[in-house]
Amino acid sequence: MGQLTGLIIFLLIVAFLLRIDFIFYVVYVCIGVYAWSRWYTPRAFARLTGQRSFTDHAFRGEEVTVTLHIGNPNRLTIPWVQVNESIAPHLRQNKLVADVISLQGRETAVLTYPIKAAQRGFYKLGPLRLSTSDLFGLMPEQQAYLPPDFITIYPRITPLSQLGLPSRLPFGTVASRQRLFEDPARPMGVRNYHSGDSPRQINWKVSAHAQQLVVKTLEPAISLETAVLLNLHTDDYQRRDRATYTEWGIEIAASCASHLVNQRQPVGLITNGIDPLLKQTGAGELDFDETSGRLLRQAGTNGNKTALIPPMILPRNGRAHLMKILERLARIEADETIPLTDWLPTACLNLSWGITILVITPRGDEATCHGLHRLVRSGFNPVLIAIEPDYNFGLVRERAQRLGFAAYNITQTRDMDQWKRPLRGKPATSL
Amino acid sequence: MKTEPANPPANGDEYITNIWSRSLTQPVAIAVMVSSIFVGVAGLINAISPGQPWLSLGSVFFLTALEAVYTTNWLHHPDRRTVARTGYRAAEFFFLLLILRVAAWFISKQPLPDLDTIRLFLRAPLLFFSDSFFLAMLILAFLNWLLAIRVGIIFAHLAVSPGEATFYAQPASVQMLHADNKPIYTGRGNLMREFIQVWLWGGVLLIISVGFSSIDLHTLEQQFNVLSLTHLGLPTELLMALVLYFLAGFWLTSQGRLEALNARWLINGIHKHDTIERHWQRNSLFVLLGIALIAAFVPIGSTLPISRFLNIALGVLSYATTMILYLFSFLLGALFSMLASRAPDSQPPPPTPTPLATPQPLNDFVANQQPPAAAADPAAMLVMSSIFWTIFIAAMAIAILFYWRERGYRVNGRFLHQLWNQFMHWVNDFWQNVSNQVGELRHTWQQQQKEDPQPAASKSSWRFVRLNALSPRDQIRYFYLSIVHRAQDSGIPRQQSETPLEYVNNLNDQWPEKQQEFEQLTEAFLEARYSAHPIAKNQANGIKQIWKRVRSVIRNP
Repeated sequence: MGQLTGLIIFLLIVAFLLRIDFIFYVVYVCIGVYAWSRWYTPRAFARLTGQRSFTDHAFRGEEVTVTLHIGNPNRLTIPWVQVNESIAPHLRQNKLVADVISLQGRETAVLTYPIKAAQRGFYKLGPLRLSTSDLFGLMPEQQAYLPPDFITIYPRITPLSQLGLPSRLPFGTVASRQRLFEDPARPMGVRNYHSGDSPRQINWKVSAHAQQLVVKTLEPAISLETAVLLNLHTDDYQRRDRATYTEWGIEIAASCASHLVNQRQPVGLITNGIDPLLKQTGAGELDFDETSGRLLRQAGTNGNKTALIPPMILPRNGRAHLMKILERLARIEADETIPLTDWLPTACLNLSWGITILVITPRGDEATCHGLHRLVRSGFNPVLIAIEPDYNFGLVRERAQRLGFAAYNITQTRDMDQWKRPLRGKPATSL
Repeated sequence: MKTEPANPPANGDEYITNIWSRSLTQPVAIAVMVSSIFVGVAGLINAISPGQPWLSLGSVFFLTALEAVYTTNWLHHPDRRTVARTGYRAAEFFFLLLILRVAAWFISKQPLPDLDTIRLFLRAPLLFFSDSFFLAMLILAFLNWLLAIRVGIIFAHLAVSPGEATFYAQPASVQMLHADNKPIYTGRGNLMREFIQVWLWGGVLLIISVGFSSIDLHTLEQQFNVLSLTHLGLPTELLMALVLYFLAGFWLTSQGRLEALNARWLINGIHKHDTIERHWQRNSLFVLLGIALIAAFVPIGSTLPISRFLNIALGVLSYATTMILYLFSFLLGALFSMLASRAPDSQPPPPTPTPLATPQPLNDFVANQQPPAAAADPAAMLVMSSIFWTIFIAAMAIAILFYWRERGYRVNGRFLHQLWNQFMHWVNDFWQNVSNQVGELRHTWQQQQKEDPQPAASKSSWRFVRLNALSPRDQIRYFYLSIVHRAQDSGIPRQQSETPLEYVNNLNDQWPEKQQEFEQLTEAFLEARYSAHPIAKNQANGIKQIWKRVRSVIRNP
């Protein structure tokens, strides 16, 4: 502040010219206040600490509490600190985080605010902007930033009881109605011997006790190793509300993967969408949508979109593996990458024989069906799940039946009710 | 550690300056700051014209500034929007004028005006104001009052108004709906700059005043070198003014900063926590007092080596400037002398320098004013002074009534009506008594006229007075005066200057055995002579007996 400096100089001149020692006292006070404001404020502010703590993964619909810790390690008070937290619009509730606080020496202020996980995605929380100044307005306002943190919102998972998927893999853990897949390790009971039963199935101890021949009954079981193949090539989606159906497809994929992992079956994920985080090296380069706050594709990758297609997640079982799949599904975005028919033969190269492939695609047109038929002929067990409404889906189902695979049209949550029915007394023929 | 939810403000009360700052600390700080400047100016006047208690005016300036700030805050309240500002300020100034005139008598330790002086004021109204000390005090107090109003207005506008708090505390959507009610934007940054300007320039004025009041100004007449001036000590009042001015200024700067930030936070929808205000006040106070304390232990001015270096530098600079001026004047002189050599030799003799008038002290200025040579018409002067005092008293009464009425102190009309009725009742009684007495006197006089048609002037003595024809009052007067007459014949005359009560002592000394009678007679005479109520017949008869007893004693000593 130049005016105060001018006053100090004037005071010094008067003090020296008129030799009034007491004016020096006033000069010292002015210099003291000026020096205090210019020295202490930036020094204290630079030592300010900030931390953001929250659960960095959440399911859609959950409410997450974010806690901000702003600490003053100095011995003296910082009279005011303005705190502005930037929150993604999709996470924001009706309250903004804009506070002004005062921090005494060695004090830590704790600010909490809730966010709503309304939409799946990879979001940025922050940066937290801190600003302060001195008590007298002698120091320009100081700014500091706490770097942003990120939160992953998983897609919505619809709990399923049974999918009814066929399998070709015997000796699994899933009960089946096909006698072909009877598992000697899963004895179910005994029954009277009938002509034609294998003598190896006779339970001799029980037969001796019962004075008649009885044979062991075995529970059929299959192994449902599944790969979820999600088509997110935007040109394949013909409906106007394309974004809605891509999100719907991701939701179906997440629900199926979750159900299968809950059934202790190995699940993998293959998709031709893009993962915006795939090729990005640092958080500073991330580009987030201003409207939604969600992570966007990295700028400058328009020419080589296939580079952003994430690698296949091979089928594994376990909760950790499911989290990996869900995290991928949280970030995945639809884009103009590779059409399904071109991508399908190469996408399944690394899969083992007999694996069930849940192909989630917008429509079951002829090309798609032929592509799936090729998978059948390659020894896989494809299942078509079309997610866009198709009023002639009966034709598609017939075509699929002829070509050797099952087809479902799941366009809304109500269509999944068939997979939500509780299991009956008898085991299902498939998962 | 504390936990506070990040909630938006429910209402805007936390942005409004707290009641203590608004009603106590800020007005006092503004009054201290503003009055300190004028204490410095008073110190300078004291150095120029000593002999008057100039340095005692600090309390007057402080109270004047305090009143100005409180009135400014009071007028700034939304409820007082309808009050006429100019009229109210004029009334306030008239009110202060009256108080300052009285204060001037007390501070200058002059005796309060006696009856002769008041009569003089009535005849020549300007003499009421023509006191140099009062005039100087009035001018300084007026400037002090104006400056305090200005600073008070700055702080009144800096503070968040209740209207702003109410409007901006609403959600943005509601603000959009009520956009017509949006408060007018106040440029608080400009207000802060204005305050800083006032403060800094006031500081410059104060420093100059204090600086010049610390040097012997008589040496300035003999030499202009400021480095070799004789220095006097600084009075305690000026030291206090200097320190208080800058501390109060810094503190007010801090307060203004808080006010401006409060407004910014409110408008931007930033939630302000409760501790801000408390910590701010505490911190600004601690920082200022801490720095003031530390500065007290730092070596002062001339003991610093840098001070010596700067002194040397200033000396060199002053010497160089003097040399350049000398050289320049020498060259100019040489040039003029060359031109003058061509001029004719017959120069007119230099004019005799007129002696400068010795400056008179301010307080003697009015006393030495000579009366005008031609005396004005006394009748015209009387009319003019009457008009002046009528207008002055009316204006003062209106101003005081307006000043207090607007503040809610209304005149109790019922009480005044009751007083008026009592007064009228008293006047009626008085008039009735006077009428009775006049009637009584007239009756007596008529009786006398009937009994003695000769003129009263021809009466030589009281000997021929017929007692029963007199009224009881006159009978008593007659008894007393006859006793006085007899005592005079006996050698106890009543002097012209003696009152009846003094004279009765002489009578008692002469005839102590009749002391009681003399006193009763004197008392009855005083009642008959001076009282307004009627005298009963019996009372006159009783006095008559006393008179007879006393008469016999005086007759036979």
